[in-house]
Amino acid sequence: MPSQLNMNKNSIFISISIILFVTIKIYSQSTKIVSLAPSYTKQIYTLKADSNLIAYTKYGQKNHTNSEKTVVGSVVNISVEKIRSLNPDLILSSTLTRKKQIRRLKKLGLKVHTFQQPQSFADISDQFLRIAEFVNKSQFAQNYLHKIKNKINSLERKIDTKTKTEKNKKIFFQIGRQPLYAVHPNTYLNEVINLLNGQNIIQNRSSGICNRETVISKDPEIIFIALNGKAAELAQQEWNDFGSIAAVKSHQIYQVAPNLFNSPTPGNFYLALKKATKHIYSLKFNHKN
Amino acid sequence: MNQKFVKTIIYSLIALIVLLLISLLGISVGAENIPLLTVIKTLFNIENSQLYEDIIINLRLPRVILGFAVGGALSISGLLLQGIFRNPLVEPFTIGISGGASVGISLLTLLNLENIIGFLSLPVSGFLGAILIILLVYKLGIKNNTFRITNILLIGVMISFISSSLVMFIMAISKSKDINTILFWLMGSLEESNLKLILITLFISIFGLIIAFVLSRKLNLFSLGEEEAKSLGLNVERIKRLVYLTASVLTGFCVAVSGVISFVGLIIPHFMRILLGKDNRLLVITSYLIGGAFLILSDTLARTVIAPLQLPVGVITGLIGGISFIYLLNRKNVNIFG
Repeated sequence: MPSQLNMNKNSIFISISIILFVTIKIYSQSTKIVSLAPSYTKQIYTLKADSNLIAYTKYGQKNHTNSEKTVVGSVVNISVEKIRSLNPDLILSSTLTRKKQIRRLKKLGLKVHTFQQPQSFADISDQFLRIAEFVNKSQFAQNYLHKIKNKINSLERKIDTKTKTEKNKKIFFQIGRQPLYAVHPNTYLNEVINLLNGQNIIQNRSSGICNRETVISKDPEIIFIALNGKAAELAQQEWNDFGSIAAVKSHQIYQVAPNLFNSPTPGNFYLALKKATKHIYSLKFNHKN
Repeated sequence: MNQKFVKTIIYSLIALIVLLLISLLGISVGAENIPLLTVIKTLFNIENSQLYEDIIINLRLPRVILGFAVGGALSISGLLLQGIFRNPLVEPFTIGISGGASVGISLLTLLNLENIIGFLSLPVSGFLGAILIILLVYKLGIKNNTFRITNILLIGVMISFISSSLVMFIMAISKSKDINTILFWLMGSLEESNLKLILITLFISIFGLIIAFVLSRKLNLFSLGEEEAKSLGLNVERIKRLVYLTASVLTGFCVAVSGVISFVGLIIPHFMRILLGKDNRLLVITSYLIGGAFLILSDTLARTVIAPLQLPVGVITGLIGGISFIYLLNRKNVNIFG
């Protein structure tokens, strides 16, 4: 009898151990993700879910020094073969990746989620929450977004107080040099301009391509240039040749970091707004902000 | 046995061996290192790995087949056109076909029809654009029931300029993601996921080879000059039209499937002419096989040189083809059409 009881005890112990092991194994299995755009990579890091990330596109690793991750190409030029060899559970792609390559990945049975280009902060937030869902960090994402929204509201209040005494400023936001390309309506950077109580001089357009004559005739009071290194320098020099523009007269041409303004994440949206506010309204922030 | 026939067989066999070796290289090399033995085992279904099957059978093999079909078709198109135009600078894209296809693709992208019609809309619109230009050039090139070769060439060049202006106009009013689609297509690529489309391209390419071979003997007579050929009983007008339409339709189909891949149709026929002489019967077969091998090799290099990034295949065709062609031309000191 005692030996039978002992055997029962042992088998119960073994069963519980197996159940525990399987449960732990299931919960510890994370989704293996390949990110095909720097902004998705950044959002995964923000969510502290980089253990899920197995590969990203070139430049996606900026500010992250994890050399264990594989590089699978660039945003517009990926290696389907490399991605297939990694056997990911999910691939996050943007509309900038070649459609042919996306079709190829899907044909190989890989799960691809393509995000549309966000047009507002609400779109960026939705995208962030969706990525959070993929990595089981929804609660974390909600809290993070709540904090960011509060910060944006606080900034908005400061801007409103400031603009009570100042009229709305005309803004030209350049994001391409040849051809001249600007922030236009239905883009999240246009929302940044609106939140600044600014007035985007490029209106009623579906494309950002514009010409210098239009810019000169609209006479912007502020010019932002979000271009890389030498291109930004050249763009600023080009505008300085037109002394009739208000922004040139008042030296209100600002070069801003393209990776901050052109990479749509909730954090970048807030930082971009803060940076622009600093330039336009000379507001001071403490580091906690 | 006829000596020329034996020569054709021997050179064709050599070209075939070159093609097979380069095809094996194309299947063996890529962003992922897979041992040659594993590649061969996977090809013959001895290795049962889903990963290797996907990479070798589903990714690399279709590219090699498409490279062979497009490279071969562009080479014989170039050979045929150089034959009737008797101009060494003529290539399949000189006569405006790629321009027409580019406008077709750009319009489709601008109007966002790809999302409505489906993914086959891209090659179909490219082909329709090419066919439209082929018919337009054909119609404009005929006067008094004569197919005027020089006019065809000039009209084709002008249509190329007009088309590129139209493409630039469309790009100027397009959204950035649409500009990407157009640019990638213009760069040319063998990355096609639809196996049926690849097999149709292969079928059309081989069909084009058969027609080109049938026309090759007549093209030999044509090379003596129009008057001489007429006096030998050749229906010159019919041959000119047949050659133009065969080469154009072949090019139109290739460009619709793989975009603009230049240099292949210009360099390979000249290359083979320098090596093997001027007999078009031999040139049609060897140009086809070597053209296919050349494009497969260029594509293999394009996807491995800076892997995991890929270069546009046209970069490699231009570099390798151009440099080796100049080298061969100087070394042999030959006058291609002399």
